[in-house]
Amino acid sequence: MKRFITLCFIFIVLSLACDYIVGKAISAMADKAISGQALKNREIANSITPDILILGSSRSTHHYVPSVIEDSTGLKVYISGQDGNGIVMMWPQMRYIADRHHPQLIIYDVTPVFDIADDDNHKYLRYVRPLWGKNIAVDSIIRQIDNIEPLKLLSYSYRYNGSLPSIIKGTRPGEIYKKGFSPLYGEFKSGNDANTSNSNLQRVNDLKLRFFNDMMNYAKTRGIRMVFIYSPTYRPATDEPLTELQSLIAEHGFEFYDYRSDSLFVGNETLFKDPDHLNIDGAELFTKQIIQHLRI
Amino acid sequence: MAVEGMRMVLWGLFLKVVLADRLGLYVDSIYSGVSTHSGNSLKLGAVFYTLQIYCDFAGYSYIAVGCARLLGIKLITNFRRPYLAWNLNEFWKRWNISLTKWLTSNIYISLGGNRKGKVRSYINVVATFLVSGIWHGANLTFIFWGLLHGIVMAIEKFFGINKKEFRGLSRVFFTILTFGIVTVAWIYFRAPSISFANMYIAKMISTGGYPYIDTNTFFHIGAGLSIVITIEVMMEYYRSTFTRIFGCRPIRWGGYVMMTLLIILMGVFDSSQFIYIQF
Repeated sequence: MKRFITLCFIFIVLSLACDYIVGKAISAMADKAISGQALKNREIANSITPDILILGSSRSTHHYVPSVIEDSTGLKVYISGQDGNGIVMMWPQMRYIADRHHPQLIIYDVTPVFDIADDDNHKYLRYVRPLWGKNIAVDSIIRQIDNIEPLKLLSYSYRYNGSLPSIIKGTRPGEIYKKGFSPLYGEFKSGNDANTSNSNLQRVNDLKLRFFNDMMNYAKTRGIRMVFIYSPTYRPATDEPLTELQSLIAEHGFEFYDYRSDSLFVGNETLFKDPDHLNIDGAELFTKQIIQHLRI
Repeated sequence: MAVEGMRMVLWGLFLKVVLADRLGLYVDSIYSGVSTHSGNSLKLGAVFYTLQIYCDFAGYSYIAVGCARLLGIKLITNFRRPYLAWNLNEFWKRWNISLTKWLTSNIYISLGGNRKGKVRSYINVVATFLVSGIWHGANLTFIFWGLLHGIVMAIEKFFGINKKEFRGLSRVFFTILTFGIVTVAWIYFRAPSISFANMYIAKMISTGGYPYIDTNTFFHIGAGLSIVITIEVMMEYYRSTFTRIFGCRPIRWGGYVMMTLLIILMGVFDSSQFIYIQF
């Protein structure tokens, strides 16, 4: 028994030491990223100071053209939205950026499947974990998602759980998302498309709504203008349960613009790359519309 | 025995969180959008589910058996590299060994086993697997899955494939063939209905197209699978070499620490359950 306990102790010490070394090495690698998602994460964590911050899922990264907004308004724009992510990742990230720098306007592109649907919130934590220990408010948000998470985050390597491929890729020259924008080229062929439904969408996740509420409270306190947008989809997705979020937005006195049924975009294959994402032509057209509607 | 138990828990955790749950992310996205994915994506989805259910269930069993060993209780190992089997008879000697033993002694032998003539023995095999299917749940998909296994086992018995020991290339061929049959059967096991499974298989066979590749998921799956395949192939075909390498303490300890780090770095730590928890 004594031998077994000794062996377990040695194993734990060895593992902790290696965890620390590997975690620090990955952190150093991430800090030196020169391309791709890793560079974007590095910029978000260290350097961006936008006047207009755009948040949301992949739709935010493909639908808003920063250069068009900057040329028209003279304001600095950054899209910190991420593929497959929603409010659970955006709220801590927005808090982290806005605590450092005061944006004038925050645009939140709503995607119900990530922002409202009742699914497992752990999956949105990948890019938030490296921010652990750098901002008290962000730490508190992570605790609300899972109160066991701080224990796991004692591990230095765990902060980069699931991120290793993008960090390795980021050490080599490659794609650069200028101001967080990722344009899509080519046109959508509707023949390859089929309607899909998401049963999770029938249930609203309470934590997500609470995060929206906290985000809007924070914006109001800081005097930041906040605008929520449902950007165009190839099909008008009118059956999605947005009522609770819409009333929350109205309660806080913020604006909500719904482009789901905009006749300019719906069914127009030349403006889409796939049913959920505008191509570069669609994005330019949409961005110009947004500038007019928001009067920025 | 306690050290052996810890080793099994570590291996079980690796199979579950690094592989099964990661494969599950891909499989779920394929099965939830069969109509939108290409035939090659469906092929990958089917193979990944075959690997997922093994890593999930074997991981679960290793953790349970390992915990028991930590408490001084020795339980039988439930899996013995089933996907390296060269026929279904061999597969079932390696997959869910405890259930197979129970079914053999309580159903197959109770029905008469081999003692009542050839034809009756074929019927007994099919009936045993029918019970196995029903045991998994009151859904036609499970029954069909059981029947499929039973029928193929009866065919193997008829041609005497179940008793043959293949060597060299023929072994490789029959191992791949068995893996293919098991993979098709798992489609019925995973599908919500038989018609869904039929549609899945029809599209999988009749169409090609670019497979859906998510580089992040593939990186993790590739890294995890290469370790599992290396260990399983060495245990199966080069056992003495494996024992000799693993007998070297620095290598063994390096392996434990590396495994722990891979679990931390590459594991999926969401609230996903074990697949077999539902049975």
